[in-house]
Order: sequence, then structure tokens, then C-alpha cells
Amino acid sequence: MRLNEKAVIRKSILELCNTGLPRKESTDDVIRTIREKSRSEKEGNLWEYIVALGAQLSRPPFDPYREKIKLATKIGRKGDQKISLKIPILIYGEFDLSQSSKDALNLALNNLDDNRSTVGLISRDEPCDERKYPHFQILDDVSKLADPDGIVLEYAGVKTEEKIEKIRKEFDGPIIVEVDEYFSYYTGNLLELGVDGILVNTDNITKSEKYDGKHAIAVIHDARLAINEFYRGKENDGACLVVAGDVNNAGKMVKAAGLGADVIGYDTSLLIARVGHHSENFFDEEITAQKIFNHMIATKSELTGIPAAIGYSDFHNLSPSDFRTSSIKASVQGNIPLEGVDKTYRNIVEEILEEHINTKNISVNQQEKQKIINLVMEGEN
Amino acid sequence: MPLHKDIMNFRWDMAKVVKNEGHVADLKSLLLDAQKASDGLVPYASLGAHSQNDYFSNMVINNAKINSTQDYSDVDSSLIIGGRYSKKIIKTDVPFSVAGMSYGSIKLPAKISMHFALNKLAKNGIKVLMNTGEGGALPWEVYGTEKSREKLSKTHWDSILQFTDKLLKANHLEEIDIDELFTREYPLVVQYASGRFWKDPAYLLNADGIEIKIGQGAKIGHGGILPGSKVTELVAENRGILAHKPAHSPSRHLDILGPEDLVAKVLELRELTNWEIPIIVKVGASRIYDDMEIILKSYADCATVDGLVGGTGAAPYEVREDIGINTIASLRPIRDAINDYYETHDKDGFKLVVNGGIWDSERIAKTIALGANGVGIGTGFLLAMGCTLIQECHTDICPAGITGSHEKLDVEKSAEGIFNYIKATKIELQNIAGSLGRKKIEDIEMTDISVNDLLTSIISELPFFDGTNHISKIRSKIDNSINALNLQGEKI
Amino acid sequence: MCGICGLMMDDVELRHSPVGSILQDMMESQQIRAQDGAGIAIFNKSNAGDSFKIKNFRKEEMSDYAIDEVKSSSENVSENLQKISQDPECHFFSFENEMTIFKETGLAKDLDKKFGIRKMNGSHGIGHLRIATSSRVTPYNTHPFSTTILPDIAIVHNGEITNYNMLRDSLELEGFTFHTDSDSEVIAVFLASRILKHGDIERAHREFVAKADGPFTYIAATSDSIAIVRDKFGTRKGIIGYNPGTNGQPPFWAMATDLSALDVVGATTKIETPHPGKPRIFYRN
Repeated sequence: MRLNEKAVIRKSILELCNTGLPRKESTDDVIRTIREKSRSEKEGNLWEYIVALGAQLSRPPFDPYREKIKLATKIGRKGDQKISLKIPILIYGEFDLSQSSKDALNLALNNLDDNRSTVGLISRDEPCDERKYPHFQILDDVSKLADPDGIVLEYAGVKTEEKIEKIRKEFDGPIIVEVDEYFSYYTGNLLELGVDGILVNTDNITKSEKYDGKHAIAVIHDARLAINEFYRGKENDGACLVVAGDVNNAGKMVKAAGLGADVIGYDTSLLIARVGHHSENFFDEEITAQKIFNHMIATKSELTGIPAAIGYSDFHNLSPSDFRTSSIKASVQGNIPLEGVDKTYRNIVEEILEEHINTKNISVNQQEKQKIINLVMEGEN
Repeated sequence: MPLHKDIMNFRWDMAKVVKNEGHVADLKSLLLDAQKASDGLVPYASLGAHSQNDYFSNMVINNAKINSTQDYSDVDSSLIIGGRYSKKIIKTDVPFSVAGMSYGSIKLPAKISMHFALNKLAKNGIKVLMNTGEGGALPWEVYGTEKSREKLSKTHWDSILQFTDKLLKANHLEEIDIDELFTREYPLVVQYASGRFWKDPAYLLNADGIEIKIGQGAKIGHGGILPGSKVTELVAENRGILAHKPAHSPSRHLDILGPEDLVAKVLELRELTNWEIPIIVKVGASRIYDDMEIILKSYADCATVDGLVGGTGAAPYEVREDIGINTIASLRPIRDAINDYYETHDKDGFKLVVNGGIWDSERIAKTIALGANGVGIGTGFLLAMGCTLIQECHTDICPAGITGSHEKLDVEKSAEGIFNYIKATKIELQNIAGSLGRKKIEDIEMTDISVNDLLTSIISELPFFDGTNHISKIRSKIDNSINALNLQGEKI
Repeated sequence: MCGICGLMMDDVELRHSPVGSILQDMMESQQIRAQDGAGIAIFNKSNAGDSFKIKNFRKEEMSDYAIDEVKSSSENVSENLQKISQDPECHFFSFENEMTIFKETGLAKDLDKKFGIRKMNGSHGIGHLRIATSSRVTPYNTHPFSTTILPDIAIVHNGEITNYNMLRDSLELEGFTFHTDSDSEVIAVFLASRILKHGDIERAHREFVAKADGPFTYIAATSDSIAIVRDKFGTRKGIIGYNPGTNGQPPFWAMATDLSALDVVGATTKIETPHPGKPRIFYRN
């Protein structure tokens, strides 16, 4: 139940309890009025309208106490250059960190590696010498290659493609390219050039005109489609999709993985590092490192617990078919089936269109059908 | 798990930074992050998920009245569970029951309030079914009938009384009359869950029905949890587990990995109880068509389905929020599974009970119209006892004293509240059915309900108030699109 | 989640052994596990030749279906396969050279009554009893499954491949065709795709176990091998035994879900349970 409906429900039950007689007014009518008032507001966060299907009789759930649930993944398409992560997370975000925050983060990431919970870091800084975790260096026009384990490039047109070819000659670790909203046009080219991963920052891309009014799920869905398109007719050699931005809790990470993310770009660890520094009450490098560490370990437990409950022993086996939505908008943007009917909104419209043109004897070709459907879809956005 | 000042402060510090960076701070999410940073553990939550869309309020029962000057007390509101394979049946006078809430997850005074309320209702001719929940039953639930005490040895009976004494003393309820306490006049269903929390076989043998719990809406695919802070010495003794340690049930019955194992389990329990009492299988709503098909084939008398917003005493926050589908959305695949099954099988007494987000007469009527035979109510009874819905049942800060804390619950007042709640809800239900011209609650049909939004229509197959349905709405959207394309110069 | 069984004759000279009747005994002894469907695949080298049989369900009422058989030579086989794959009226049944598949909804003894399973001879075979979990009770979803990628591959499966959708999507992206909605079919298609790639059946099984999730045991047969494979946690059952030649039967290896199935055919020596995640393969001599 929603927060603002709780009071209505409570009042209504207490009325029954006090009087022992039927109520004057239907409570669902009251709730409906509240909802109609708020309907004009933008439909909230679409993540909250997406749920996973749990495992019970038709498939048994796994149990993290009994079976080992795999989270580990590798970044890199060629055998000898792959980078291993024990948790599919690369710390990545916009927070400006002071040196002590960076030290705390470095300490936490090393401790995580000792705990067999390695996560990676994406940063503009030069990699620390005594690190045990993989460091992806963001290379811009001025920065110099400083012996990182991987490289992140920001896409800036054809010159990026030239740069990739150049870097490949001196660097054989994984290269990830952070793309802009037009990724569907050039992802194939990048992968053709041997890029190991595509990074989408949903926060940035949903601010663009192209994704105006759309949610992170639309970006993730489209990015996965672009990568799959490249692999049509070939064997998948493991180019990964890194999703950053609006994926800052375990529930969103699981849903993003279901929509096609392989690795999550995660910024909450940076936020903790930053707060550790800024709060007078708490600042202490080791305490901050411990907080980052604790937070990641708890997140790790969540990331194993949810796939186990869905029936998987591997986080990376989550797929769109494991999710349902209670929002037409989410169904349209992420191509997610609606709960209870197990069809996407698009499927439903397609079926009705098919029947409609048959009964009305309208002649339309495939292309026109798609145009009609797309227009109906746009109307729901 | 109390909310330490440190955790709260850390959350505010994070929120400040997020705001300064120009983002909107999600306080709920940051609180979970602060908790995780503090203890490195998976955060818990309780009661039901914050589903953004539970459909109930988008549905209207056409021309029905919950309040009527006419007397509809002759409308049949009874529900029978059992008889499909069991020799005995459970007959209740209302189509709703008390959903499983165990001793441990709620405190003793709350359990006793419900016990007394249901006894009083039974004396007034309203028999209501109670479900024990997964944490075992209390002595007066197991030995509440004379028949159940017949074969007890003196020493056994004394030990039961001794334990009862301890329970009452610990809760300052010594004034309760033991004879009154050891009277159970309502039917009791016990849960057979993956954590087999009982020490006495009489738990199963003296019950009126057994519910095999495969899953529950709040934590599908995840075992039951009772946080260590709530496992007091007495709760531990009642469950046969260690005190002050969290009780984690396995995520699955270790001997039920598939349909044929469920069949074996149902038959095992049938043999154990001499094929006498009804056996129910409970699942959370997820892959519900498949799961229903399996239950229908499993020699069970009844299925209980628990929707996403079904409550819990404790569940990992993300599991509660993110796994399972809504109650109303589950009803269409359930109907399909039942119809498909009975296409090739003769009709029998299979029953469907649905839980999750249902707490008043209208929602009961809507659920029954969409194919359920009965419903289970959990949170509603907590509200009747004074629950404030702060959703901290997994901690020990319950302000009403129902699930934790040292607040004292007024047993008499709570029992009175439950008594009135059930009595009034029964009258409302009869009014609804009566004003629709029906003689029985179960005769409320899908044609009695209409909806006011497209998604609810798609999911429930119900029409809009003006008689149109989702198909005609989408058709007109299609026509509009064709017109728009034509305007743009496309010839269609 | 079902009952499965398989056997491999131990003697190279005995290609015309009573595989059908032994399989039938094993299936009937496990009937209690599942009643929604039954099927077998039997391999007999004397059937092998240049011509291939492509069988498909003719689309009629579910309860009354028929099987069409398209005989093909090695020249036109791929053309015929493509035709069937693209024809919406056709439901693929099997692609056979020396293998013969029969499957039907209902009980094992009805299968025998209809097709005379007990009279069939061969070198090895597999059998299946089905209880529906996530796909409907129709002949289309009954095991064994085979593929249009390579002939003479048959699999029977007990349990659930939970990441079926993901495996299927990636195989379809690679260009391989599926013909049913059953999760079990992905085993056959995956094995065929790997055999096509590297030709090593044992490696193909190992690759499948590494990729597949969920609780399962499957038995897969190719023209010269039969393998029983359990998931990496060993959540589903499976057992192997050897009949050294008692009761006038030729010696053979047998494998099944329940021990009772080995008991009934005298395969009670050298009993072993396959190690979780490790394929146990028997080759035709």
C-alpha cells in the first residue's frame, strides 16, 4: 500500500472495530479519489513498477546458505586480457573526492579483494601502486596512460574510433567506451573495432532530447538490443554492457541485469567515501573504509539472495522473461511483459491490431503496421 | 534492529551531499544504505510491499452498497474447505480467515486477543478460521478441545500447563482463566513450512487442516525469518530452537524440489492424518499459472495464493519489494489454470483462497468475483489491534505492542476490536451480495465489477463502467493512430 | 520434472538387442513419477544410410494429431529442413537417420500399445515420462527432443533449465532454430551447436553444465554415445547400474531417475550416482 493510503485504511478499519457496524463510505472510493488527484502527476519511478517472478513449485529456489550463488564476471573479449570481478560492480560516479576519501576508498577496495569480493574502479586518477583491485582509467584528450588494468573512453565521434585503434597498439587490456544517447547508431562499429564493453550512464542519457521523458529502463533495453544486433549470426564473445546512473540499489541492479546489464557502474560507495570526509563527526579513514566495505558486503548478499529466490545460481542468468511490470509505460519502454497477462503492451496492441484490420478489412503492409503500433506506443509514454 | 542515531546522522549527511550535487535524495533508499554501511547486513523490512499499483481501488462493484437499511442477514456467507480428498471439511461462517501470523512474529498478548475474539465469535454463531503461521502453535491451540486432551498422560498435561504458566507470567497475563484459555471453538489450520518449527506431533494431528507453505507473497523464494531480537527464551522453547539467535527457514522444503515431490508430501501428510483433514498448499503469486497447475494435480483440497503486498513479520527489504506479482494480477492466470484443469477433469471441491492487500468487505467481494472462494486477512487484524502501519515489525519498536517492544497490548480491547471488525465486515459483505440480489456471497460475479483504468481492464478482463473494455479502448487508439498517419499523408 | 531412463548395450556384436523391451520395463517401473506423457528414442545402426527422415506434426486438433514423414537424401535434406522450419503449419517432431522416436501424451503402456515399443531392437536408447511444469500437456512438448541442426540427437530431461530463456535467446541470435516452448529443447540445440563447432560430445556436455542453471538431470543420446548429466549442485537424482548378462539378457549399462528402474531390469551391479556437474558418457563400441 502507498504511504498516503495507509491513514485511510487504518481509519476505516478502526471505524469497523469501534462500531461493529457497516461503514458509511467505501474506502476504495476514497483511495480512488486520492489516486485520481495524483494521476496528473508524472508516474513515479518506473523501477518501482517492475517485479521479478520468484521460484516455488515450477522451479525450486536456490538457497544462498546451501548453494554457492555466482556473482563473478570477466570483462574483456580476448582470453588472456580478461579482468575478473568477484562482484559485477565498477565503482563509478561524479562525486569529487578529497585525497583522504580516495585513500579510504582504496583501502576499502583492497580489503574487499582480500575478502574475495573484488570490485573494480573507474576513475580519472592515476591508479594506486599498491592496489589489488582492477582500475579502469578514464582517458580524455589530455590524460596520459598510467598503467591501468583497463581504459574507459568517452565517445566523441569518429575521432574516438581512431583513438581506439591507436590505443590498441600500446594497450591490450579491456577498453570500455562510455556512449552518448546516439549509441544505437555506432555500437556495432565500436564492437567491430574490438571494444570490450559499452558503458551507458542512464542519468546523462535520459537528460538528452532523444530520451526526453524516458526512464533508465528504456536506455538499458536499447543498449542491450544494440549489442545483440552486433552478435546476430555470430557466437557471443562477451562484450559487456556496463550500466551506470540510476542503478544505485540492489533491487535496481537486479532489474538492470534482467534487462541486459552485465556490470553495474555504482556510485554509492563514492558517496559514502565523500560523506566520511565531509562529516566532522565521522571522518576517519579507517572507519570510512569500513563503511564502504560493509555496505558492499551487504549489497553482495542482496545480489546473491535475489537471484537465488528467482531460481538462479548465477546473477548473470537473470533475463527479461523473469520480470513483470504493473505499468504500461514500463512495458513500452523496457519491453517488459505486464503482470498477470505475461504479454508486453506491444504484444497486446499487435494482437488487437491484427484482429481489427481483419474485421474492418483494412489493407496495411508490415511497415505500416509497425508505424501504427509505434504511434500507439508513443501515446503511452 | 534499532535505528541508531549514528545511522540516521549518516543518512542525513549522505542526503546533504546528494542534494548539493543537484540530485533528489531518496531518503528511504539512503537509510538502507546507511544501515548497510553500519552493519554489513542485508536490511530487513516488514508487512507488505509498497506496490505502486494494487488495482483494487480501480475497481467498482456496480450498484452495491456496504451500508443498507434492508436486512440481508439471510445471505449465505459460509465457506467450506476440504472434501476434495479429505474425509472431513472445515466450515466457516465468513469467507475470510485469519492469515498465518505466528507466535514470535507477533507477541503473546496479540495471539491471545485473536484466540479470545474468535472464541467469542464462535459463541455468537460466527466460526472463523485461524492459521497458525509457520512458527508452531501455542499449547491452547493444539490442546484446546476436549478430544485433543483425552489421551494425554498426566505428566504431559502438567508440562503443558507449566509452559502455559510461564508464557502467561512472562507477559503479565496471570489473571487469564486457564479453562477459558484452553477452549478452542474455532477451526485451526497449522502451517507445514520449510522450517519445521514444532516439537509435538499433536501440532499436525490435532489440527483441523494443514497448510503446506511453499512460499508467501512478501518473500517468495526466500525462507521465513525471525530476527534474533524477537527469539525470546519462550519463543525459542515453543519452536524448539535456540534463543536469541535468528531463525532462518530454508528457502525451499528440502524434500520438495518439484511437482512429484509435492504429490509425495501431500500423500505423506494424508496418510499421517488418516485422510481426514483438508490439506492446503500455499504459494506466493509469481509463476502462478504453472504453480496452480501443479497444485491442482497434487491431491490438495485447497490452494492459498498470496499476492505481492501480502505481509510478513520480517523479510529482506529488496525481496519484499521486488519479487512477486499483485493479487488482482494473479487471479487471471489462476482462473485460466483452474479452467484448463477442469476441461479434462470432473468438477470437484477444490477451493481457492487468496491473500494480499485484502482487508475490507469490498476487496473481499472483488476477489471472490474474480474467482476466489475465500480470502485471508493479516494486516487488517493487526490494525484492529491498534497497528499504526509504521512497518517496523522486524524490530522491537512496535508502538502498539503487537509485534515487539514493551508496550502493553490491552487484550480485552483488542479482542473486542477484532470481534467488531469481523462482525461488521460480515454484515457489509451480506449487504453487498444482497444489494446485488444474490443469495450467497460466492455468487458475486465478474459482471458485477467494472474498472476505471486501462491497465486494470487488461489485467482483470473486466469492462469499464460504460461497458467498453480494454480491447475497444486500444482499438480506438489504433484508429486514432491510423487517422494521424493519414493526416501526415500516409495512405492507410 | 519427470522420470528418465537410458541404456547402452555393452557388446558390439549385439546391435539388434531387445532395447525396446528393456526401456519399456524401466519406464513402466517409474510411471508413478509422471503421467502426462511418454516417449522413447532407439538407435539401430542397420537403419543408417544415405536417407534422412524428417518427421513433423501435422497441425490438427491437439487431441488428434498425425505425423508426416519427409524422406530426404543427403543432397536435399537441408533444403527440406529449412522448408519445415519456416512453415507455420508444421511442428517439428524429429530428424532421424538411424534413430527412431515415438512420443505421445499419456502412459508408457499406451505408448507401447500404439507403437509396439517392446518389439524394437537396437544398440541403445532413452525413455521419458513427463509431468508438465511450465509448458502445456501436448504431444509437441513431450520428450525426447531432437534438433533440425544435426540428425540423431535425442535428449530426455528431468528438472528445469531455469536460464532457458537466456540460453535460447543467445542460440537464436547465433542462428539456431527452436521448434517448441519447452526448456528441455535447449539441451538438444545447445549440444548440436557445440558438436557442429568442435565435434567433441564430452566437451559439449561440460560446456552445457557450466552454462545451464537450475535443478536438472538429463540423458542425451547421439548415434554413438549416451550420457547422463546432473546439475552442478546435484539437486536432481540419477543413478547408473550394469547388468552383466543375467536372465538371458545381453550385458548392458542402464541409467535412470529411480533405482527401481535399474532393479526391474537387473542392472544392479557397479551401481553409481553420476557426480554433480560431471557428465558420465558411454560410447557405442
